[in-house]
Amino acid sequence: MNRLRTKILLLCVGVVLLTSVVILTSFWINTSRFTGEQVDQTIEAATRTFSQLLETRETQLITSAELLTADFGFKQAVATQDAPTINSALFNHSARVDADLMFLTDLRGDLKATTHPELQPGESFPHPELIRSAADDGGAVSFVRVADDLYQIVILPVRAPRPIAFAGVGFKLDEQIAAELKTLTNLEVTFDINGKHGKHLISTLPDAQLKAALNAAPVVSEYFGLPFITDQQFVSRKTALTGAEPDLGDAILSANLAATTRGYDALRNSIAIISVVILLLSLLGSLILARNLVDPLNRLVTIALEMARGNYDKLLEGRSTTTEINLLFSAFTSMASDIRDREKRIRFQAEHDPLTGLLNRNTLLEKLSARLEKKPGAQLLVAVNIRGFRNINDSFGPQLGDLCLQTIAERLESFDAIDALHCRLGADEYISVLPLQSADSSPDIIEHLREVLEQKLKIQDITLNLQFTIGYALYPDNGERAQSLLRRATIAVDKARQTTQAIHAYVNGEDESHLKSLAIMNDLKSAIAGDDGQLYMCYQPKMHLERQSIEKMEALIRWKHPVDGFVSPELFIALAEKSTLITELTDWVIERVIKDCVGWQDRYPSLQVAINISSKDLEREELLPNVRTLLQKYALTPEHLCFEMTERDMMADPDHAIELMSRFTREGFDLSVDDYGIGHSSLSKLKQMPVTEIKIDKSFVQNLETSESDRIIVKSTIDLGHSFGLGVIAEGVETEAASGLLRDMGCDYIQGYFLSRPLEVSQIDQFMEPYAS
Amino acid sequence: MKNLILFLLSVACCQFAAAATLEFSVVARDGKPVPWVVITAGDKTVETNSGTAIMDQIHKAFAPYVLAVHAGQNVSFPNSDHIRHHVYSFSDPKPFELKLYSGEPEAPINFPNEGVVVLGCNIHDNMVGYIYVTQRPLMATTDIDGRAALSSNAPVTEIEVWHPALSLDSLTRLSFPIDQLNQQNGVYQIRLDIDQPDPDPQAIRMKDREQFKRFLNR
Repeated sequence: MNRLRTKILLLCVGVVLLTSVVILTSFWINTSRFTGEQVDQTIEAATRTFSQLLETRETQLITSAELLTADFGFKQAVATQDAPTINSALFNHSARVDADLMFLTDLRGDLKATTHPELQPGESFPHPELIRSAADDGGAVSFVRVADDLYQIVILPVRAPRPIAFAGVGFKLDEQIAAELKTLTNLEVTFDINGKHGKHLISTLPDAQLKAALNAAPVVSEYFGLPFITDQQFVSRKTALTGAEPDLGDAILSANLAATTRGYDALRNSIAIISVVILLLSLLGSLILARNLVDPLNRLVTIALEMARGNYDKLLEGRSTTTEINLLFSAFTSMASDIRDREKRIRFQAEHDPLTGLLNRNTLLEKLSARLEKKPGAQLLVAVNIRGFRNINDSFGPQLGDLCLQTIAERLESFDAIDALHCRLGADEYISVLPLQSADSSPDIIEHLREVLEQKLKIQDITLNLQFTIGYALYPDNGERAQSLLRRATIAVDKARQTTQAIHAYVNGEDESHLKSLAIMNDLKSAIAGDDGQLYMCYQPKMHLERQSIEKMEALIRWKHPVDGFVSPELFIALAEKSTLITELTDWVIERVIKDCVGWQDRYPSLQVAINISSKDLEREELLPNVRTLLQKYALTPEHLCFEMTERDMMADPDHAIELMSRFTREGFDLSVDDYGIGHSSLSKLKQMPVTEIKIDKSFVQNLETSESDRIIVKSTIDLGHSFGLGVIAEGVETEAASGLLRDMGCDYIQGYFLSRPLEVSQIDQFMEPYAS
Repeated sequence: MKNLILFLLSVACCQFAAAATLEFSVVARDGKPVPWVVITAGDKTVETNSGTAIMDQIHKAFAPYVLAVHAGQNVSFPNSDHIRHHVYSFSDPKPFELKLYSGEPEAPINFPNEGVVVLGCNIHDNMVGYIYVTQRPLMATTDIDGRAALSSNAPVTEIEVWHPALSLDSLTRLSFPIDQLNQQNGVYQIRLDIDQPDPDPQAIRMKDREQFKRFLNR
């Protein structure tokens, strides 16, 4: 049974039942009280009526007695004691006034004449006190018992004119008076008479009801009308009849409750029937109400559960007769469609790149994983980067950059491939998964893709010729898992970019070295942060050939890995340059070098240390202010530091480099061009460079003794440098012969194993000892 | 001693008058004086030479209320009212009836026999009167103060006293030996065992009726 339905039913039925019970109870209480009061009043009124009736009869008696005693003839007869006359007069008079009893006594109370056989002339009147009362008061009225009957009598003196006798007249208490009383009061009347020979009853009631009436209570029972509790038929009240002697009998007035009971029962029954009918109606009504309410609710519950499972389509054809329910259904329908739309949107946003609408990385991985689980045919994972995209952003603004990214996305999506997945990893990096048909060859597809991508791009009247770097990996050849395939494609594109190839196919093993590089970078990062001695500086002295003095050193970083031992500086510096770690490394080096320099100030006050910086370092706005702050902190002047940059870094973007380098020279730092000679720098640019010296690449120096051409190059370079007013250093000097040649050529400084290998700080003093001036 | 005083008194009186006068004062139970008490004395004799006594009817009442006459005396019943009366008596000494009349009836009525004659009027029930017929030579009726006096040449040894209220039938007479009566200032004191009767006989009758009415309205 449904709970709501039960509640509604219980409520309705309860209300009706309660109402019925209250009405019935109230009806019963009021009716029984009303009946009681009414019967009370009726009986009291009847008692008064009875008493009035007796008084009326008394008056009649007095009148008739006065009539008798005032009769002159009667007086004469009494005075003359004419017995026959007296007797006849009595009988005559009693017939005239319809009296039931007449008698005459002398002044002593002795009967002289009577109309009742029980009273015999010559005997004393049985109630002498009445005679006395009549003598004293001029008359007497009372109930008396004669034989088995009660009489209401009046006794008056016969005056002539003094009392000479007493005459009595009486009415019998009989059926007639009972009937009269019943007519007047509408109550049943019973006289219970204590006769001389025992009790007897005079009643208006039939014998069958007499007993019940006489035994009835004097008031209406307070449970009147309650079935099974009371069956009261009568209310009877006694009035004692007293007179010359007590206990003459009782007058009993009985109210018959039959009519009242019938009316009451009828009313009660109709109320009960009405209650039952209302109960049934309300039962029916509440059932209908409950069904109208509960069934739609149940349907809504089903719908809500369906919606919770994400099933919005199985929506409702629910129509109800109730407006509110219909509104609820409409609200549910609109809510479902809203939720469905919103969920679609949210899911799309969660799965796609907001800018281009391509899949995002996570979704691509999910979909690819799902696809790979089915062991599909060969899949090509292509990673695409836009070459120099940052320049586009910088030159035309990010808005155009975004449009550009969107166009590329459209092109990828339009690329003719079945079941292709396209994803934007971020910035200008895209990944596409292209299923390969058996006949397809990867290089052809990639080439085709590149052609599609590199079509001219026209945005807002600007025509762009974009170039792309593409790397790719193959499933299952280069990996079987989505994650690793994705990484390998990315590695391939990185590799392409590093090697300035347009397209690079992943070669197995690249991933592992990539991972190794990542591990090295991680360790380097913690080594820098920890500064626990893993990293330390070595210094390779540079000697001025003419003065044979050590005036400069090149600072070289060393890393002793706690597990792997010495790590090649070329390796970790190259890796660091690919990430932002190079800046942290440079910062560390600069501070270290400054500290070491400060340590040497007392012994070698003019020693200048050269620090290698990359083009990335040069780009950093904060580098120069940092160095300045450090110098102030350690109280060192700028001429103690020189910064070395490779010719290649400088010439990548010479104008830009010139501007940045000028800042260093303005601060008073020397700048040196490292690896000079292999960078194909134009002389005009070299002339503009704000550098103070050039450092001839060791590849020219190492074969100086044997290679005529190298000697020519070195000699001309030295001359060129000098002609521009630059100092010249030769590095990689390994023999005394080479040193001699260079001195002859006019080279200013040499650096190399001939002079010294890079020295740790603790070895510097020992090395410097011979050169101390 | 009492006799001696009486004797001395009578001797003293005899010096100034031919006859002795006996004075009486009658009171009821409550000590109030009782009028209309007839006191008689002397041996019973028949005297017929007395004149005609008058029992008048004034304002629907017999006047006097009590009339004492000697046996054989005539009584006239004039009617002084403007209405007619029907005077009767059922009493044994002299039942008679004077049917509706006004003014003087034809003849006085002779009352030869001793006794109490109760008088009534058949028309006016309230009217009650008494004629006390005695054979004794001395008789007197108490006045409003309950006083009466008997003059006698012969010594009085016993008196008879009557009043209608002494019994229900009004027939009772009491005898007192004179020497047993108390005297105060020479006045014989008689106390009757009756309630103080209203001096107005009509009022007595009315009182009866009032009592009965009260009784009925109890």
